[in-house]
Amino acid sequence: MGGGFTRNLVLLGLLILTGLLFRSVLADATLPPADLVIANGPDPRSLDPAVTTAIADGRVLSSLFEGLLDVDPRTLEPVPALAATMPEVSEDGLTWTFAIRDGLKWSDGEPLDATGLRWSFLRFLDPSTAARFTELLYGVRGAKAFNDTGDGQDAVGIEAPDARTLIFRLERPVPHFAAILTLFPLYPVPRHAVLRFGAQWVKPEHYVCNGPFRPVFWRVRDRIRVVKNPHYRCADEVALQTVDYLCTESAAAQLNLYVNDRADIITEVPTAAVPELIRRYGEDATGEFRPTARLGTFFYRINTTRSPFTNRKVRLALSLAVDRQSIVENVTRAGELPARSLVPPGTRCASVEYEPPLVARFDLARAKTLLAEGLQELNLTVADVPVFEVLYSADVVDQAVAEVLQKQWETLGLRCRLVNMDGGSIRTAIRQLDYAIGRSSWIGDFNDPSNFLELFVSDSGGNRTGFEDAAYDSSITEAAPRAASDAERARLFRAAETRLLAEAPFIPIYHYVSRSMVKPWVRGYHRNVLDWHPPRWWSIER
Amino acid sequence: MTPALRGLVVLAGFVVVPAILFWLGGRAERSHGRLLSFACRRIAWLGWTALVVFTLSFFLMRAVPGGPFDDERRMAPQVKRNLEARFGLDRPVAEQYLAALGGLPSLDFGPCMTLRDFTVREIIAQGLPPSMLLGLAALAWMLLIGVPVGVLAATRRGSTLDVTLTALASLGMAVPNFVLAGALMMPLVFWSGWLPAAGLTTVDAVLLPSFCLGAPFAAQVARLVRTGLLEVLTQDWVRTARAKGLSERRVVLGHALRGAMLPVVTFLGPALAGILTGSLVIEQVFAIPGVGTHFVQSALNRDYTLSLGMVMLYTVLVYGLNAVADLIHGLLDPRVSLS
Amino acid sequence: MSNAAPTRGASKSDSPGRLAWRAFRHRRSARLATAVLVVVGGLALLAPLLPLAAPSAVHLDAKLRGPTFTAIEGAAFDAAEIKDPGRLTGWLLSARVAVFGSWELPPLFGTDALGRCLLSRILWGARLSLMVGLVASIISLIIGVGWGAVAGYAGGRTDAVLMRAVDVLYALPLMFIVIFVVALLRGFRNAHPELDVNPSLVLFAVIGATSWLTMARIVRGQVTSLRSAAFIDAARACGARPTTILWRHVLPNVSPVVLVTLTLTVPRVMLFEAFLSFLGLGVEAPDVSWGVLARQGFDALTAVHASLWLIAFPGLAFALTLLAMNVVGDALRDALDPRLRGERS
Repeated sequence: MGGGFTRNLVLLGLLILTGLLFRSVLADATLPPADLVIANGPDPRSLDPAVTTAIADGRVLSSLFEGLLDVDPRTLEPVPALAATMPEVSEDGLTWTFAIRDGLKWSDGEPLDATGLRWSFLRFLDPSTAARFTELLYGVRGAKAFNDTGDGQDAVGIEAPDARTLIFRLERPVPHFAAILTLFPLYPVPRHAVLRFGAQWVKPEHYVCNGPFRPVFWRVRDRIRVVKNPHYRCADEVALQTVDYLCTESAAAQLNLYVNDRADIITEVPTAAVPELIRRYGEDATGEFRPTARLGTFFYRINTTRSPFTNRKVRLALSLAVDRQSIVENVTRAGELPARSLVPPGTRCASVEYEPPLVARFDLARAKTLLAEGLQELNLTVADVPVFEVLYSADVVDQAVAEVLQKQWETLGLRCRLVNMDGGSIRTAIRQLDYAIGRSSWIGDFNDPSNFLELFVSDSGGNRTGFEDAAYDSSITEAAPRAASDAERARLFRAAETRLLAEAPFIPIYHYVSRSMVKPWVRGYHRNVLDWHPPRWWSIER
Repeated sequence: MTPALRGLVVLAGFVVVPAILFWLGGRAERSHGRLLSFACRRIAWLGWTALVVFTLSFFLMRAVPGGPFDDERRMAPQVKRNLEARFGLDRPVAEQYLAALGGLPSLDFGPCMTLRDFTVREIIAQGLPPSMLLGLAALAWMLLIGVPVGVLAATRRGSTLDVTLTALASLGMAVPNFVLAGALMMPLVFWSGWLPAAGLTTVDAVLLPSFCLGAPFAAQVARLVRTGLLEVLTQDWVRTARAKGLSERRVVLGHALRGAMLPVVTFLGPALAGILTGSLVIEQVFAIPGVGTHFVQSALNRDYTLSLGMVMLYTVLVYGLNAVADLIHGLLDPRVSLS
Repeated sequence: MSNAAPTRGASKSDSPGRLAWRAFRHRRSARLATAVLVVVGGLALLAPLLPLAAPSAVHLDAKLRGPTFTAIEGAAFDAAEIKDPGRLTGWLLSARVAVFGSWELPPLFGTDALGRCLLSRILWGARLSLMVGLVASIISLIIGVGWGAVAGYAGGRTDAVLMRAVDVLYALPLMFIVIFVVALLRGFRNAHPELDVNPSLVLFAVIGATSWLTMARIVRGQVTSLRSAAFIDAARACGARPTTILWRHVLPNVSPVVLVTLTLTVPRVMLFEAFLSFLGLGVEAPDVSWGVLARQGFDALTAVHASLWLIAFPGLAFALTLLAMNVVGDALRDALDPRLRGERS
């Protein structure tokens, strides 16, 4: 900066740059305010329903699409959506016939019919789509083979004999098939847009959907804005014009936004704030914060291929040594339910309430006896048990739970090392059975015990414990689906779960609650066990 | 041309082009002076550094267990295969490396693996303006606080004011920036409601995050200015200036400060690197849509493409800023040789 | 302090080192800061001897208590709480048990979300945090000084290659390396359980291995300018080997700068540890460091409720220690710089 001139030039340049930055950043951010703002958690993986699985993704997609069937947020029953009525199911439960509504339109006005829907389902299964959750449709004839190899598209049992009829032919009975068809990965995608724009169809400028809203703006780590879709079949019932889905990773930031009145709905709150939130916003105060039970279980997997956890009694001892009541009272603190089973209470087998076998409990004396017995069977003593690794994630609550578990297992004379792993490593380690004990969780996608119990079927991608039990597998995948009645199915599930809990390839800790907060002026937000809140019903009443 | 072949060409280019530049730089020194030569050499080194960093990071990432599609949610093996095939992860690592390298000259890092609707370039392009704004504002805080405090402390050396200011400045560097953010958020955001808590929608939303980001560096600048000024003030020409009857203010602000700013200029490079790294905490705390959060998150998610993009961004920024700092340093102080 | 080159020849009574030491000693702030460091270091070292609760002793009934003089009911110190104490720690612990029995101080600084005594955690955490700083400084001393000295002394092509390598490493984002190396090392640890690698040690090593770059640069700059100094030429003329010259003549002359750089490296590294802890990549529980405590304190701050003590005390510990280190560093620099030594406060 030899002279004043150069220096001034540099300064001027910097000033202009700053000005431009301010302009570009703030101009983007100062969109006109939305009718409703929801802090949604992390950015969706994609706006293509086929490739998403995360719950936060599902919340955004539920504003953009409607499936064949939808879930009524009050009753959680599947209700007709694109289908005009509930499907006709054949006697053997293998053929599901849907009558598609007349006059359905995509958000660009193009017609939506059964042929388009069939194409969308086949695209979902096509290996080149690389959809994540294709297991959902593996009950359909030929679906697995097609998804596996890319051959045999015509053999897949999804047929559209005319523009208003869609038929699914199943390989085996899937009693909860209706519930599956409500799930967001199966939302229909627009053939014309996908074929025209290829991978670019998910960009807001090319986006075509069929739900109450359509996206107009997405800035990563900031927000997705959706506006009302005039071509939606019940457009006149949709009260909101614009909704913002904020991408906020941290619960603390979500609460900040809520307290500052920058968000109307938040999906998570920091645990440290929970008692105060209950006091200020709880049931007895404004009612904005009412943690409600939700179909989800936090549990620890045990690697059953690693000594001494090859022994059932040792595993059971670990489970019996866990004081779940103390964990939910002192650590999670939002009214979580101590988990005594894998399937959360409140799960239903269609018409029948499923009563999970409440087996897991806290019994230190019994745990000690079992541990001694189990180790004796292995010709080991407590002193021989090496220090084992417990994998947990960096989350605050996870860490606290892990630390409490470590303490409680110490009372058995067992020592573990807590290994705080980043997301990528923990998942890989668990997948490759390169762990002893690792944190895990499952959030129910639909209300059926199979959604949880299928996790521990031997060849399930969700097992990851090395647990194999042919009798368990057959009762979940063979016997239960063919059960004569819902009550019979529930009974079979219960027997299977009892067996599973006795084998203890995992340690249930607690059942989740939904920790969302909703401003009093938001209407149509029905709290339910699936934590499922279709924005179509939302309205603002100040 | 296959991607692998293009990668080979690019690889050769990354070796040869800097070499030519280097040679040209050597020749330019005689004919066109040291500035051009300096620029040529630095760009040449940048090219090589970029190649080395790219290669190191690429293979380090692949050596680490885990991949971008290791969701804990259940996934059938064939689904994973499908996904890997889609992103070319089923090919030999060497081929993947060349393919990735081939996109480097056009800044094409490929599609993002975790945010599937975006390419890495789109994500960086979206996140850079907020981050730059935050960084510039932090830089402004750094200089606006650091320089005056340093000057004051130096001119009143040994006084209570010096001790207090130095202590305060050091205090700024002595707490982690998230602790500072937490401590300041309480009164400024929650108790008084003066500033917004999160997001980047208004001008005042920039104030607090950039302060928390810049404060630790302000402290260092203050110390550098103080030390530099003290050193300059003992030099003969300052005595001469004083002897000539120039006011102390003019001696300090008009003459000595320029010399004392030299270390500050050198410090700009590392400071910006630090601000870049620090921003990933601050962006997370204040929910700012910048690139900072991707930095760690992409590595944790094993998002190979986004990670590489972020690493290259960081490398080029840090290297470039260091070079610019050296350049300015050289221009300000003719005794320093530019090499 | 500094071991000035003998070639410079000065009488014992007023060697530069002594002069510097005197200058340093005469600065009140420097004395105070040194005292703080000695106290913090001493407390950290002797933490097992003090009648503190075990840092990992969980009392869920007493969670989130503010600073208090009331003891937690039913709390009693159990030395078994502290896993794998080293020999020194074990000895201190048994001394503590012999003196105080199972009596422990009430949670003077309050308790955390699991009812653990914050005071105890801060003092035990100091051991780890200071250790991180120590390890990093030793590594930067060995690698950084060596690297820089060789580059600076050899000059020419060796210098260029060594320093470009440093540039490359500088341009590599640290975070990135740490995330991946930590993941790699866990694999290594599981593959070789017999080596019994302490996970925290691994973290130290990684941080240390990346913290020597600044040192290398600074030392190289100093050595480059020393290389052509008359006394080095003289030594060379006398036929001294390069290693001897480096060791006997060059290094002692750069030691002041090295010392000052160290006092800056340690705080930087300790903050980096905090930063890693913020991202959940720090030491593993039940080990505790100031970074972990700062992170927990930060988590306890929410829009509706704040357990202020959880952030205030770890923050203060950080601030006080690093502040003291900076002051000592400043004072050292001033003291070692003969031009500044004249006017002291």
